[in-house]
Amino acid sequence: MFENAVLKGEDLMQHISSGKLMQWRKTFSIENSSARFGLVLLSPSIIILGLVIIYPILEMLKIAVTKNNLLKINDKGFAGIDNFIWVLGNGSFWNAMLNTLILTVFSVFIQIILGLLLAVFLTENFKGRGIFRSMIILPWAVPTVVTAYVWVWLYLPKYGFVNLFLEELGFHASNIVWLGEPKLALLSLIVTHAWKGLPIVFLVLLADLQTIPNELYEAAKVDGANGWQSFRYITFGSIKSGIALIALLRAIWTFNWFDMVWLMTAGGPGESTMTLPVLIYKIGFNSYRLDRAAALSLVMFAILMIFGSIYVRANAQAERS
Amino acid sequence: MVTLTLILRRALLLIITILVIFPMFYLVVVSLTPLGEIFQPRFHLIPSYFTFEHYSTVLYEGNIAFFRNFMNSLTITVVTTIITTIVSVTGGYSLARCDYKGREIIALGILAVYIVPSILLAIPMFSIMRLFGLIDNRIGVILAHLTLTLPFCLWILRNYFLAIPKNLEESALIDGSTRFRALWSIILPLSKPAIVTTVFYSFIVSWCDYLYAFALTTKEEVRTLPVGLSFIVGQETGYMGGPMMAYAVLTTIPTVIIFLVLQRNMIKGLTAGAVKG
Repeated sequence: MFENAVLKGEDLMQHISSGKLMQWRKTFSIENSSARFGLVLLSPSIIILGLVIIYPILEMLKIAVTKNNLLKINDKGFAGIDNFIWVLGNGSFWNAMLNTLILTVFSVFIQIILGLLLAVFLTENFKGRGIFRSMIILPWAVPTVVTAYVWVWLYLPKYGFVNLFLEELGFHASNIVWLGEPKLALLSLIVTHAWKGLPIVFLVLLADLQTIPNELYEAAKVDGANGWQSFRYITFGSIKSGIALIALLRAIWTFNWFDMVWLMTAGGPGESTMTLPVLIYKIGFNSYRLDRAAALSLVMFAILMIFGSIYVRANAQAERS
Repeated sequence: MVTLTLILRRALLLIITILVIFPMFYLVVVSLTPLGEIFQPRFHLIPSYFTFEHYSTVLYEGNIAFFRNFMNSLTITVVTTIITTIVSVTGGYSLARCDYKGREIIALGILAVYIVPSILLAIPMFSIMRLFGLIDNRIGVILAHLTLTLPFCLWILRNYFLAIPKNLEESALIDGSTRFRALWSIILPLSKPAIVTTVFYSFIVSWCDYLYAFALTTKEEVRTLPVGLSFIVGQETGYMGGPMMAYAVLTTIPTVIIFLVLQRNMIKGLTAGAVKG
């Protein structure tokens, strides 16, 4: 009798681990929960995203290859790559391209340097550290419109604080028109963009720094490394890829950014601060050439993707070596 | 131990922080400065007395229409946030838990869509909205704002749900509950940080948006706060100084409050997205 019971037990174990019981159990697991439920849940997302992103993108591809002059409604039709040729042959485009690159590179550079400094300073533990952290986040909390106008105000020639301050320090500055002189305007914009983007870079680098284990620093001290060496090899070395990543993200964001430049200078004086997003807006909404604006956007996006992938590849290679 | 480098570090920190803080400080000070003292060609910062006159002007003067702009902003932002939250939670959960073909591709697609710049979408969106009669319509702006909020929030919530261990729901399912109840009573309470991040991210992005609110409207009845500000500035004699600053401060207060209250939470949520994405 006993043997029978044991044998039956073994049988049961085999049964459980092999077929039927397992299958029966599976119907209760998440894996097999009706795909239909999942799709139902997902449908609002798909519908909305399809409507507001996919459809416009397709529409834009269509607009870019047609002739679409809102001012001459009858002048329509397929235009192939005419618009793209127009874009690439246009002086304004190359000027805007250059401005956008300068703006992006320099403002991101400043953000990284200052962000890194601040992150390093605020990793050490001291009283009041939290207050500093809260304060540095503020530029991020301010809407872009507000930022733009505050800085325009600061940059005003006669009444703006920057010039008043410089005068107070002894420079004869009250005639410097920061946003009105072609050579200075882009520089002024770079500063403002850097100011606005600093908090995010700071936060990300702060988070990155906190992943470095303390033991590394202690081991370095034991080996006789001084402050600078430990910074260079441990701190900087550990977050190099973090820096590269946030630099890329900020660069993409700055490259694509319309609001700030539009509100502060609208591309002026002349075209000295014209960036690609502002140019797109002007061509599309002021000159009503949606077709050319669409072509320009696509060219801009393509350039961004190319630079992006070069950057990522260069970074990956640097990592390996 | 107080070393020279320590003093230098603290000094540098202080200087940079002051530079960073200063524009906002200045904004508030000017908004409280009496009109006569704002435009002075000599160095001044703190006025001889503080006044709320500009706030009065902004809130009560007819042609500034602060309340109208405020209500537009509020309506658009609240609706955008509600839709975003519901859609991101359901979509994110679906992408994290449910098993169907193409799930991974869709997730990657959402990330790809996140990279598309808003100026790029603005052109066709204008054209499409015109076609559907959605120009000068808050619904149009709401739809446009969804392009700003949905990709990011879907991604954040999907990642967050992926990190929650599956056996929690599985035990509930075995006990006989429906999948929807499992989501509602088990997953949601656990996801508070991520959902809070979603809600406030949507709020801030929608509240602060300028491009779409500007490009998709022509009439003043539907202007939002940011767009209204750009029109005050363009008015009359260039810059209306005091009232403009007061208006700007009022527009900024909601976002600053949200930031200060939720810093820790937002930091966790956003750096997770940035690092993973």
